[in-house]
Amino acid sequence: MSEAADACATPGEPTSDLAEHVADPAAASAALDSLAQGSSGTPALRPDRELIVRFRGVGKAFRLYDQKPFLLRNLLRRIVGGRSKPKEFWPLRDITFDIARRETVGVIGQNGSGKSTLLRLMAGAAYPTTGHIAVRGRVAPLLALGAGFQPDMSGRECVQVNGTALGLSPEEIESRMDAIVSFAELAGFIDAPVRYYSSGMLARLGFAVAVHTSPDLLLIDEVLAVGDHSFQQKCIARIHEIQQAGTTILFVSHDAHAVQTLCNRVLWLRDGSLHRDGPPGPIIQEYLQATH
Amino acid sequence: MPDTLPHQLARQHSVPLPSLWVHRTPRSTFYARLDADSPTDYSHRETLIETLRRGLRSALSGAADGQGAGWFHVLAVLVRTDFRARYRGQALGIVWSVLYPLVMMSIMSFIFTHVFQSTDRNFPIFLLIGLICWQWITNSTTAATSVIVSHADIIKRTIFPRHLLPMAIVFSYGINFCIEAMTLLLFIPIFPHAFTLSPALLLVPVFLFVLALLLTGIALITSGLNVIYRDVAYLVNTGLLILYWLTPVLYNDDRIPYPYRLVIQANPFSGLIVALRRAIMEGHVPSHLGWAGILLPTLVIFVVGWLVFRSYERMVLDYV
Repeated sequence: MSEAADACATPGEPTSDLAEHVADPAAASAALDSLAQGSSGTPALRPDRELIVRFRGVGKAFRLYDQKPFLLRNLLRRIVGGRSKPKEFWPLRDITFDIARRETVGVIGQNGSGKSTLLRLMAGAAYPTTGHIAVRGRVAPLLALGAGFQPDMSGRECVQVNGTALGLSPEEIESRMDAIVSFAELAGFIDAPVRYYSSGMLARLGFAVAVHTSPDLLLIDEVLAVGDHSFQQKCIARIHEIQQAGTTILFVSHDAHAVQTLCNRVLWLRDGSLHRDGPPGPIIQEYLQATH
Repeated sequence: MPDTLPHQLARQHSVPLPSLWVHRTPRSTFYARLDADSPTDYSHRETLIETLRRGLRSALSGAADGQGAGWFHVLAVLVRTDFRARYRGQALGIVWSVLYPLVMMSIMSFIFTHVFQSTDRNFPIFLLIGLICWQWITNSTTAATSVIVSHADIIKRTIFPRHLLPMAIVFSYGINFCIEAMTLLLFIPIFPHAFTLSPALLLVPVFLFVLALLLTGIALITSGLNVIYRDVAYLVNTGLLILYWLTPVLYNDDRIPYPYRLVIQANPFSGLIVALRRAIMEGHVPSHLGWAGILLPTLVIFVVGWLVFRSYERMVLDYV
């Protein structure tokens, strides 16, 4: 108990990675656990690596209704009709993996295989129906670009709102504003209302904010399809830089080539379960063969 | 690239990750170190006291677990955005919100003095205080009820503390209230006997804070429920209409005969508006019973709102 209180009282206390590791034998044991499960396709995690995400038997169910489950009609039906439980749809079932710090993990799978649900669960924008998720550090979810943009706001205000929602402090937003504007190539337009922006300008602004947050864990959901070719190259280059700086990245994409070049580990989701987990080369090859 | 500043792009390797993890399970969300493989085995989950301490500490400085900016800052940005968005593209802007209670006051004063032959000379001030309070109550409750539905994209795609959205609505209409309250100052030379300079005026900010707390509690309840049952918005409108007549805005509750007066006093808004009005106009400080009648329902509603919102939050995310 006192240990928890101490941890609570001095959360930002600087400790070296090594000290952190020694002080946290649980991380080591968890890593050893996944070492033991190596046979099921889980890559051998070196026990000296710091964990940042842990999924244990995670499943997510959505109930299928014609309408919302709570409406009077449905409630009455349930009480009077005594019908069986509504059908459930499980986009994810029994997912177990660990992600260590500084890994770049690609998530591949066909449409409807549960990739986006996995990211939403990791971000905390959805809660699991079964299992246990543990995440630490600052998470920046790029689930969709430009959340919180409103047509009447100026570009600058959008950056402030969006940056805040992504977890930046006011000082951080202020100090990054120029870099964001020049990255988005919107220098002359930043104080105009975003209703006058083209869709490409909006997407660039959203992406620029997202890549200028400094998260511990960056979640990217198929957002690279914005802008022209040169802007896409710029985005990829920026993600490389973020990766070099030591940020853990989870990258969902249909683009096998991008996954291959960026990631050092791949999760292949198939029909809501974790089909393969390991280094990108062989898995992507197998994936391409299976899907074509 | 000239704008490349790698030290800004990502936290340095040397920055340790927080030792507290966010744990999400089907039943609960809690903060703890990662010391077991099953959520039931955690020996030191955060206690309620620790949660409160973490919440307070993270208000200004950014969350202790490294998740996001301080919630106070997030709240401020949301309040500012909502407030600015309300008056964008309008020539008169905030003047509208001042004009409405003034027009209402003029009409009501005319009707009550000339039609109903009221003799109270300070009646316009009496009305104005009640009307601007009621405008805060009704506007913020109506707007907050639909705020989660109308901000579905930001709710589903980012992870900032979601209970701040209804709170922000209450506070941004609070700014309106303060601006409207400034018009009271203009009436001091016109109705000098309607105001009493006394220490009771110091209580006015306290009453307003309590009112904000009460409104936040109600907003937390209605905004969460509105996602699940869209009927709530209509229910709130009807409820506000009933409450308007059960609150002594247009009349003085002294005039109401006793058994009915209890109905009016059971309404937490009544106690607040009456106390506020009497503090400004008569320099009257509420009795112990009066304080209890204001504070107890407020606390109960706030805590219930908090719990309701927390328990609905998971469902809200799936159905918004």
